Amino acid sequence: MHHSHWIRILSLLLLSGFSLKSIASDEASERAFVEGVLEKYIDSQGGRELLSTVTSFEMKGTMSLESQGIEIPVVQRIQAPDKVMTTREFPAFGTIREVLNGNAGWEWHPLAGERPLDEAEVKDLLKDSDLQRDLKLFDVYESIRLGPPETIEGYDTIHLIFLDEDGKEEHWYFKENGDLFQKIHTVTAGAASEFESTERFYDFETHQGFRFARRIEYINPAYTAKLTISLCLINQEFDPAIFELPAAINLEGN
Amino acid sequence: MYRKFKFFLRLILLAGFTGLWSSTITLGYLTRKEAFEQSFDLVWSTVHESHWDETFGGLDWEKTRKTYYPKLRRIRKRADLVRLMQKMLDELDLSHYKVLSNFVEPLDNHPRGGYVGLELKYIGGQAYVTRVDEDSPAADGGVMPGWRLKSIHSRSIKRLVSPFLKADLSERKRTFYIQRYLNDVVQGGPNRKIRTDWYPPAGRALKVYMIPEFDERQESEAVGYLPSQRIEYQQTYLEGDVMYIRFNYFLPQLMSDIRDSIESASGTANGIIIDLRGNSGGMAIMATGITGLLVDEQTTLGTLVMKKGYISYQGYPQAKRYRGPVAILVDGSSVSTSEMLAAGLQEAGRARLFGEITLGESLPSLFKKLPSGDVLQYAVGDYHTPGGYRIEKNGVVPDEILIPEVKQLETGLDLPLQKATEWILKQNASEENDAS
Repeated sequence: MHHSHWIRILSLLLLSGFSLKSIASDEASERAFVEGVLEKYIDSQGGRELLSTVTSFEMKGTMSLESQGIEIPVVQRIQAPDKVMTTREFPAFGTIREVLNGNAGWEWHPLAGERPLDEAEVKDLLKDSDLQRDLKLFDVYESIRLGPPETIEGYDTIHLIFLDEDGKEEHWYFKENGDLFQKIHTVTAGAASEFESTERFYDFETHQGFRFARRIEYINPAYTAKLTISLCLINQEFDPAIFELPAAINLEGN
Repeated sequence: MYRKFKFFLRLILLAGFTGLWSSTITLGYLTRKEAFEQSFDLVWSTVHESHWDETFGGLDWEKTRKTYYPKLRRIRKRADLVRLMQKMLDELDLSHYKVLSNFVEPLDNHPRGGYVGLELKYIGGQAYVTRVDEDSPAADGGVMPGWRLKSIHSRSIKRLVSPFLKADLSERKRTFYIQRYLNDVVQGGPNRKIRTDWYPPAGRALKVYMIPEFDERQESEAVGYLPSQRIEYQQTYLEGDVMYIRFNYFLPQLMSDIRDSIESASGTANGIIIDLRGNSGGMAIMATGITGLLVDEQTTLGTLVMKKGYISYQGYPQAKRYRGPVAILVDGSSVSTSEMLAAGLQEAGRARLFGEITLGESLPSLFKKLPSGDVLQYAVGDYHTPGGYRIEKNGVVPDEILIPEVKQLETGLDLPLQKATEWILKQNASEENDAS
């Protein structure tokens, strides 16, 4: 670790209010610093105790594609550890429904038809359905290290680089209070499709002790979408039928 | 605890859609000068940020800005702003970079938006009728396939198309624009009598008055900045129980009709002919849905390569799908999503193509509203088939290239349709022989 990296860590420590006494060695101090950032992130969401009791999650909101003049109501229901149901109501052509149940997933699309989700999509949704994932980030990622700090929209952020099991990097940027402000990662969207997505989180609010961003911006190579969340609930009871998958398509034909 | 919502991108990509536009000036609190400058900047920066090729195809995009920006100072009218921005975009020499506005005066004062129910083909400097819809004003007026159009409201074809003849366009694009323009003008305005003069193949010139119709049910629903369009869907059975399907746009309202037709073809049709001639494209994802109704295996139509990442267009086999022979008819006015579908199914060996080389404008695109009130349509990536064929500028080459000739048009013969029907019946005959 060269000199400039030290300065960076020191400045971040000061910025995030951590004690300099915790620095024992380069690697250990970086790990301790990263752990501290992530602990603060967990605290900012409502704390370890609350998050460890979360078994279900429900979100309703509207995705606005301002540049296209389109607004799309979205609903997502998650039942840990492996069930997700998402609906998106597109103007003019109807509702797209996506379901994960165990190790299989399905999408029904008014224009593209119905299809089983592919392996990469299922894997991605399984991550979403793990509602305790934030509590075990060191276990689910290959490594988490400190990245160069960045100032985004006037905020001096702490930047962590996550390396996943497939060797893909994710970049998370935290505010001083522990809020996750920006996340850059690769999105897998169906067979042989992937692109970079940047997500930014705004307008935090607390419900049921859980603190979440009411507004999220999704920036991809083509446009920006804004999600405004109108409802966010934890530990709701869901009708198991919403996660049911249709019978497999008979590939032998008619 | 942040969940992802990630599948929006491929859903809203359009390919080839250019429609009638209506926009109002939305300057808001901005002065006209500010709105013009911001619009110009937004057009330039959108291309700068979203263009997939760092070299911009060899164009110095920074320099292009420096060339056009000083001209902005002299601009006072919105129509001139639109022209300036379009000229800058034209430097890219790619499809789907357009400033869409109804603020630029049309070429003429002909009323638009009606329907008389005929289709024209422009060939050798003349326009011939290739289709007359049943029970349409054109049919009621006695117009027949093969007739040559002399004039609309006493304006000769030569005069009508002269602006296009002067424009700097490739021959393929010129023919496309002329054909589209004539088909637009001949439909007239709703309930406004239109006078047309014709030369039937035999006999004397004829005058035909038509009153164009307007049927709200035939109008698509506007989706965001995508305006409503007149949608046409036709499904019929030809000789030898061959199903014929024709539609003019890839718009959501047509998907259930398309699905119902193809699903019903199993066990009843000896083959399907999908007529994409004159199809202007639309929502690219519909091409994957149609593919899924025709394939037994997951099939890639092509890949969109963006600045950061790529999206593959996949057709997933559907429960009720058609397994018989499929022919697709294309011509120089088959654009974008039509080209994506035709090229993808051709390369997958699932369809045989008949007709002319397509226009070659296949870049998936999005819209962006500008502070001036106009709308920018911009491509978000390059597109190629699984075999690496680039449709943009090259077009899709049919398996059987059939260039229409005047003699055929005069007799009302639709050669691509005839050849496709013969091919399907031949496929069935060989299958029967194999079976016996």
